[in-house]
Order: sequence, then structure tokens, then C-alpha cells
Amino acid sequence: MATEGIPPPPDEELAKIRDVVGRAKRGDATTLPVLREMLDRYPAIWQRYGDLASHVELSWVTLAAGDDLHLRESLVRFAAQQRAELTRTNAGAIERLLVERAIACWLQLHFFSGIEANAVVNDASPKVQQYRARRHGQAQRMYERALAALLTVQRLIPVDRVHPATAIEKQSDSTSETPSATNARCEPSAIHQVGGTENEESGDRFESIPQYRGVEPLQTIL
Amino acid sequence: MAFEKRGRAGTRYLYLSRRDPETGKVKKLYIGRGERADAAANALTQRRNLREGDCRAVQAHMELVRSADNVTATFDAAVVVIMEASLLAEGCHRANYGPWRKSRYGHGRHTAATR
Repeated sequence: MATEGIPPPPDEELAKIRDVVGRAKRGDATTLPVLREMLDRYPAIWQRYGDLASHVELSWVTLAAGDDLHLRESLVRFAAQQRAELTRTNAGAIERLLVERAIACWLQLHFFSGIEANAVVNDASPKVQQYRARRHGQAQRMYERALAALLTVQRLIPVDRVHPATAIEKQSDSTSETPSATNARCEPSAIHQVGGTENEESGDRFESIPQYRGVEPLQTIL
Repeated sequence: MAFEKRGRAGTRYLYLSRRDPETGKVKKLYIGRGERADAAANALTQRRNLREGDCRAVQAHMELVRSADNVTATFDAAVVVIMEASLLAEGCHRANYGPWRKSRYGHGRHTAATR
């Protein structure tokens, strides 16, 4: 979700926002009017925090990489590269959603491929191997479905029919787009610190990934 | 293991309980006593431990990916609904769960019928 151009809250507001968000997370219903007003005033908060696609991607990156920061950074950059390659210039919101879905499915497939390979190497029992192979097959089919859906939309909905309000300008050249440039779209700002206040443990784990700074797992939101 | 003690000496006899598929009743199957029964009991215990270990490994893996699976399923379902709605709005149709196609008349049945 693009949040560039939207001013982040000033530093003096951040403390107040953190307090309200913290109380709202604990279920304090009295904070709702203030919370709604803050979200209206600073849409970057909900645009970043409510992005389901980011949460899905984050979940699979975390599972696939574990504590391996190198793999985590590589996965994030590869996902960004795939995002740039799969999205057409002036792609609409639907196409962007489908691209996010394809990337999430690819990460899921990557995770289950690794798990299955490890099961063979570690000489896991046939039952465990069978389960992991089944999950790998499911992930493979899901990825194929996601790509097929994306291609269908790209074939049937030309970009010139996309509503201008939902269209985005792709980078001038997808191959020349560096991962750092892609991540720059999600440049950490003061707004990212809001989401990470309540869950410092999980926040620390993703602080090295600019794209995920401040994004918490979805279950902490719901 | 299902050892049964009998007699004054307390001799242990190993039985296995199995449900008869024909009658549906549980039948006891005599395995043996002494060293033979102990060896069989050990083998059965090992097999049960292995089976339970497999189950625990599968359960642990399911628990590990449960959160990611749930988020992915929610996102996936939402995206499919939105995609189908946009394709329908574009005048596409899908005959009998086949591939999506542009409608022959461009804007679906209603337009075709009114022509």
C-alpha cells in the first residue's frame, strides 16, 4: 500500500497515538471516537497497518526464514522483484491484489519446499513426509491458481480500462528496479513506530526489514 | 501393554484387543507369555511411540503454520471474490466453471438479450 505523500504524524502526536492505539488493542471501547478521528487524520496508519497482503507476506517470510536474516532479506527483495515484474504499468487495484496473492503463494510454496526437503534430509518418518508432501502439493496448486487468475485478469482487463483512481505508475523499468528502490516505497517513517509499540518482541524481529517495520502479525490486530 | 495376571504365581499373559469388523465386538487375541510376550510388548510399545511421535510432529507443524494459513486463506478468498466481481463487471463470463471469457456481445447476457 502506497503511503508516500501522506504526512506522518508529528512527534508530539506520536505519544498520544501510541497511548490510544495501546488502549484500543486492549479492547477499551472508550477510545473509539479518538481512534477514528486519528485514523481519519493520518490515513497512513490504517493504510499500512490494515494491509492484509503485507501481513500474509510477512507471515510466510517469517516462517520460511526463521532466524536466518540473510534469507529473510533475500526473500523480501526477491518478492519485491517479482512484484515489479508481474505488475503491468498502470495496473489497477485488482491486478495489484492478484500480484500480492501470487507473491504470497510463492512464499508459501518456498516454505513448504524447504520443509519437504529438510524432511527428506533429516530422515523423517514416512507419515511426516507424506503430510509435508501433501502440503507442498497444495501450495503448488495454490500458486498455479494465483498465477492463472493474474494472467486471466491481465488478458481480459486491458490496462487502458483501468480506472485512473486505482491505477499506479510502475517503475520505469522493472528490471532496473533495485530492491532498495522498491523498499523505498515503504520507507520507514514515524508512522511505522505506531504499530510496533505494543508488541516489541515481534517488532524487533522485523526491524531489519524496512518493508515490514511496524507491521505486526494480523492476529494481534484482530 | 495388556498383560493379564493369572494364577497364584501371578504369571503374566499378553493379550491384544481387536474389534472384529464383522460383528463389531472387541475380541481378545492371545499373544503369549514369558520372554516372547515381553518382546512383543516392547515391539508394540516402540511402534506406538513412533506413531505418537509422528502425530506430534504433524500437529506441531500444523500449529506452526496455522496462523499463516488462516491469514492466507482469508486473503485468498477475498481476492477471488473481488477478481470475479471485476471480471463480471467487465462483461466476462465463465461457462460451467471453465475459463473466463469475454462475453460474445461484450456486456453479458442482459445486453445480449436486449439487442
